[in-house]
Parts: sequence; C-alpha cells; structure tokens
Amino acid sequence: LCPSLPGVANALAAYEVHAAAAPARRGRNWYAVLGLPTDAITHDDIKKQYRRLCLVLHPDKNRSAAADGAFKLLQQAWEALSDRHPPGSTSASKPSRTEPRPTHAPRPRAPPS
Amino acid sequence: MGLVFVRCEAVVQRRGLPGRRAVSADLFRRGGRFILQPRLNSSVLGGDSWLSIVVKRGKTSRWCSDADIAIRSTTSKGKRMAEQFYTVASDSETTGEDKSQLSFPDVAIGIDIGTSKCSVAIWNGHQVELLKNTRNQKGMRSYVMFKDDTLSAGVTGGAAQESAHEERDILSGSAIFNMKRLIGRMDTDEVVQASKTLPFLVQTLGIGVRPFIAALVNNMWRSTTPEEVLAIFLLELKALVEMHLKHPVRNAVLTIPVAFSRFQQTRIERAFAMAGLHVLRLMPEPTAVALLYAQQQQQLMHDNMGSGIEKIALIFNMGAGYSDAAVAATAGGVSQIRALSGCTVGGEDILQNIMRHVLPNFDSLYDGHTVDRIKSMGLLRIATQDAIHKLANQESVDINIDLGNGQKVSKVLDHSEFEQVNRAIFEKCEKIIIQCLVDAKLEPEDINDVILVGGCSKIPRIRSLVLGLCKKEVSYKNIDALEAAVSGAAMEGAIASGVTDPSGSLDLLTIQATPMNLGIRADGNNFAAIIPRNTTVPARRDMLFTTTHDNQTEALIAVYEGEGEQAEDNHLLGYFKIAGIPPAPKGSVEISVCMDIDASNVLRVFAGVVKPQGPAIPPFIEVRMPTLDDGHGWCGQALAKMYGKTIDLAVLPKKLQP
Repeated sequence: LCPSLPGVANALAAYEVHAAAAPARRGRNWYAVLGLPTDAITHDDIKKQYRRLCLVLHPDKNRSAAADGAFKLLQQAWEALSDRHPPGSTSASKPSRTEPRPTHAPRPRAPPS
Repeated sequence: MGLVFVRCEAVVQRRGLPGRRAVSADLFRRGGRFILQPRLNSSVLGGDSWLSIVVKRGKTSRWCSDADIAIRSTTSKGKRMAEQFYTVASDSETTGEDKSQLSFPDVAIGIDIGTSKCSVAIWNGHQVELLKNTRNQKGMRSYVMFKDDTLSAGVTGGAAQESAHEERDILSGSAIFNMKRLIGRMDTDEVVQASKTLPFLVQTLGIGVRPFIAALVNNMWRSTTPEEVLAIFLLELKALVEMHLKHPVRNAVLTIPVAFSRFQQTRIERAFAMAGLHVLRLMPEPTAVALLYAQQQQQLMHDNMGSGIEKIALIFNMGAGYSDAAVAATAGGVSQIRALSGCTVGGEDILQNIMRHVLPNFDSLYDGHTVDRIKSMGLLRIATQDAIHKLANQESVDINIDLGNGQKVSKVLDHSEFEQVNRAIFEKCEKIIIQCLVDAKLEPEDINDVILVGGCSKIPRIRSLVLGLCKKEVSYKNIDALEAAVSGAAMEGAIASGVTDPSGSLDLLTIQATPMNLGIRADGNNFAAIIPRNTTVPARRDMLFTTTHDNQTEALIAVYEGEGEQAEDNHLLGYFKIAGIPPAPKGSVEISVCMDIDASNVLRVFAGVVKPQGPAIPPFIEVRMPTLDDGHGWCGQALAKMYGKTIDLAVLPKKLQP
C-alpha cells in the first residue's frame, strides 16, 4: 500500500485492530487489540495507548469504513483491561521489554475528505 | 392568503441511487416560502434523503427543480428567497451510508437554539466566528411572529424596531416561542402543562398525543406545530448565514439539552430537514463547551494531541428551558465525556414560580386566554423577568405593576424569598451535579475547573450551589457563558467536516457518551438496560434474553430510553416482534438483542434467536430507532392491552451465559 495515500495509515490502524480482535480459542486477546504486551503493564500504560488509539480510530478522525467497528472494539478492550489493571496497581515488577505496537499514524489528524 | 396547501405527486430520487419513485405530498406555502412535506402514510418516511422533486398538478406535470420553486417565490416575495433550498422532510434524513458516500464540500455551521435565545457560528478558516443579525445582535430571540400572511422570526427581529416594543409584541399571543420545550412532547408531559401559561395557545387533552398549539392572528387562533415554527425560524437563520458566507449552507451541528429524548431529536431533525438543513451532529450542550475548553487547554499547554496532563472539568449549563451537567476529562485536545446528566428545569420555571408568588391567583386569572388577560400576563412577565435580572446584582428589587382591570402588583422581592420560592429548582440542579460526579466516579477534589454557562448561570444562588458542591472558590474564567456552546458546535462542525488547520487549532476530538440508559422491557414490566448511560459512543452492546412461557413462538421487543427502573417510566422508542421462535420449554431459548450507536448517534437494534441454531431459525431483525411517530403515549398501553404478558421476555442470568 502506498503510504502517501491520504488516510491510508489510519485505515490500516483500524483494520489492524479488527485483525487483532479476531476471536481466538481462549476468547479475545484485548492486549493485542491495544497493541500492548500481556505482562508488566500499568494502568497508565493502558490509558496512554488507549487515548492514542482513540485519536487514530475515532470516526471523526478516521474516514475508513472500519473505523466505527474498530473504535467499539477499542472501548471493549479498554473496559476489560482497565478493570484488570486498576489505577495504582503495580503489576510492573520489571520494565516492559516489548515496545507498544507502533501505530501507523505518526501524528493523528483528520484525513482530507 | 395564509396557508396554501397544494396536494401534489412528488417524484423523489434517492440520493446516490438511480431510479425515481412517486409519493404523494403536500406543497404548502407559508409567508412566501414553500415547504414540501410527504403525506403521513406515503412511503418516503422509511427512506433516506431525497434530492429532486417533480410536481404534478392535475394533468400537467413538469420538473420543478429547486430553482423553479425559488423563482416563483421570488416573484411573490422579492429577492430574499432566491437562495432557498428545499428538501422533502423525512424522518430518517441522516444515515451513516450517506456520509461515507458523499463528501460535503461545505463546512458545517454551528447552531445553538436556546429556549429563549439562539445563536449561530461558523468556522471562518482559522477561527470560530459568531454571526450577528442586522441589528448587531449575536443572541437572537427564538420566536416566530404570525401576522396576517407574513411571518417574521426573531432572527431579524422584524416585528418592531425597539426592543421594548418587540418584547411586548412577542407576548401578545401572536408569537410562538419556547418551541424547544414543546417539541416532541406529549400533552401529558408536565413541561407542556407548564407551558399553558404562555401567551399563545397550548391546548392539551391529556391522552398522550401532541398538544395543539396556536398563535393569535386577527383575533383568531391559527394552529401550528413546534416543528413548523422551528423550521420557519431556521429558514431565516440559514438565510442570514448564506448572506454572510455568500454560498449555500447544507450542514449544521446543533447543540441539544442532555435531557432531550431520542424522539425529540428526530423532531428537531425533521424541523431542520424542512428548512433544508442536514444535521451532521447533535451535541449535548455541555459537551460543546467541553470541546472549547479542550482547545483552550491545548493552546495553553502547547500539547501534542493525545499526550499531556489530564484535566477534569465539570460543566454546568442552565438556560431558560433545561439544565445540564457534564464531567469531561481533557488531555492534549481530546475531551472525553465521562458523565452526562440533565433535567427539564430552567429560567422559565424560575420565572413562572416568581409570577405565581407575586400574584397568588395567577392560574385562575389566566385561564381563559382572552386578549385582555394575555396583555396583563405579558406585562407581568416583563416585570418579573426584569426583576430577576436585577436581583443578580442587587439585594432586593421592587415589583410595581398595574395589570389593568383593577389588578395591581406591588411587592419587594429579596434574595432569601427568591431562593425560598425556587428551592425545588435548586434541588434538582444539585441532584444532577451529584449524579454526574457519582457516575464519573470522582470526588469534588478531583475537579480542576468548574465551568458555568447559560443565561441562568448569572443567578448568584446557582453559582454558589455549583461551586459549593465542587468545593471551589471561583469558576473558570475564559469562557463566555452565552457563546460557549455555539462556538463548540461550530468547531465540531469543522472537525466533523474534515477541516484541518495548519496551526493545529483543530487537532481536537470529543469522545461522546450516551446520556440515558437504552434497553428493552423484560422480566414483567422491568427495564433491562443494554447500553447503560455514560457509555462511550460509538458503542455496541448485546444481552441475552429468554422466553417466559412454554412453547412461546413470538417475543415482543419494546425499546425504551430513560432512567426509570420500570419500563413505563421511560420513553418508548419503538417495538417489534420476533416471530417463528422454535417451540421449547420456557427459559431454554436464547434471544440476543444487540444495540448499536454509530458516530452520528444513530441507534440500531438487532434481535434474533441464537439458541437453538439451525435452518429453521428466522433471520435476525434490524430496526432503526425510534420508529414511533406521534401519539406514542398510547402505544405502550395499547401493547399491554393487546398482548398482556403472552409474548414477554426475561433476562437470561449472567451466570448461565457463555
């Protein structure tokens, strides 16, 4: 895909969320939806990544047809994970080794319609 | 003269699709404007948007483009009409598909229709600009004056040159105002009941149908509807914007009260469609203020989008008709709505309370709506309004007024008396703020800023009440109480139209939440919320239900919206039936009901049998809500009478769900 096409980065990010949310044998992997490692993360990490993805996936900012569904999945992931990692919990005994999945949009902005 | 109806066959074309269909419609003329409205039972109501119209009259049939209608109205009413744009008013004017197929070249304007005042703002390329009318006002009185065959809306304030005269004319019974309180409400509604003391005629039968509303023209009551009044007002507003921008306007972002039901939203959308405007987004008023706050915080801190420190703001908005509260978390230009709550009390209620207080036999005196009584009612209203405004800045105020017919009012009103009379209203305001904080799971100490907006935010008691609950000394300063909502709407209009600004001042986003629970009737008369209030939208939730009788083959899905635990305490949005459920013992069938709200706030309900599975299972049903038209007060009772409990559903307990 040509990266210079308008809106293609945001569209890709939306499809990535759909792909990551494909139901597996043990239910959906919400960590993958947010693009986070499964261990050693804090509430703040989740919140930061959630907010970043909100900007990329919200239908106001993302004209792709996949945006609506991706945003709903993101909400579900946020609700599931923020329950699992309440604020102030220190599950991060060691710094996370895996970097968060880079979202394709470096700086979120609305694509020209 | 007056209202001219032409019954016609209009051929409508679905936007983006080939093929035309004929529908019957009424072409009617009001004060030089033509409005085309489909007949109630014509097939337009289920469709999308409509572009072109052929009017067949008798044996002659000809294309009647928008320009055609405009030319004819030009000959009768002068140049003003030349840019009017006509569309068929349709209940389902906006669909998600529409938006993705078409790109709108123009930027949506922001409109704030207040119960008493209205304003409009545009994004002029680098900032938000509030438009002024010919009398240099930013806030225009929301009313439409009916006089012979001419109408004038408050946009131009055409009725009189001096504002004192204007106010008296508005209260003469010939003008309809407060349409925001009346629109989409049944005649059993207490807000409609309270509106009976207004100078124009509001007649109720108390059976759950729309109230009868009429304006006094030449000593005759001429009927109208809130939708129609709003449409006439919007046409003038649109003309004002088009005059300023010098190009046609098609899209608008509108701010609405939190307490507006979805049914009321469809009525508002209908009024916009009648005026040729497409509602791109409906924003609860405090969320528009939150967006403005997010922009100011972003500029203050030079944040990049999506980063930065989170700031929590509590926004309290109290206008003439409604009060709303919201808690918004703002970080780096993103404003996420954590909680919303609202109620239908406002300045109008305060005004009526004071009028009743200074004139104890108020209700009996103004029962008949005779011309004399309307006149003295108008005098009392002006005097009371004046006194309330003065009380914001002084300790006590004298009300001295001669109402005619030997009626005189002479009273000194001070703060403690004012607060005593309106105690119930202040309690309701307190309630929605507390609910907002509880829903957002926040303590008063977590709040960084308290933003007070709306006309009634100037009342000292309201200020001290809100600040007291949030344990703050002062409120947030940089926001204009009367212009914030419309500015936020114009900004959202630019963002939702895909405008970007090189300086980054539009790198903003509001993440909205649902103001009310959405669910269905289950377990007898209980209300099972499927999308609870304050859920982030776009949202999609589902829930499993089961049958309540052995071998039950049909199930009724009655969709409600509201806060009540009993289904009938809430607003009925619509209903449909799932038929062909395979016969089985009660409780063994699983029925999934899924609710979906998309980015443009359209609610869809999907329902069907998920267990047992197989080829004998009927397909899922998708319904766009609300499906009800007027008279919805009857529907719930009629359903109960017809079916009783024979096709009820029960919530399937969570532990049994996979």
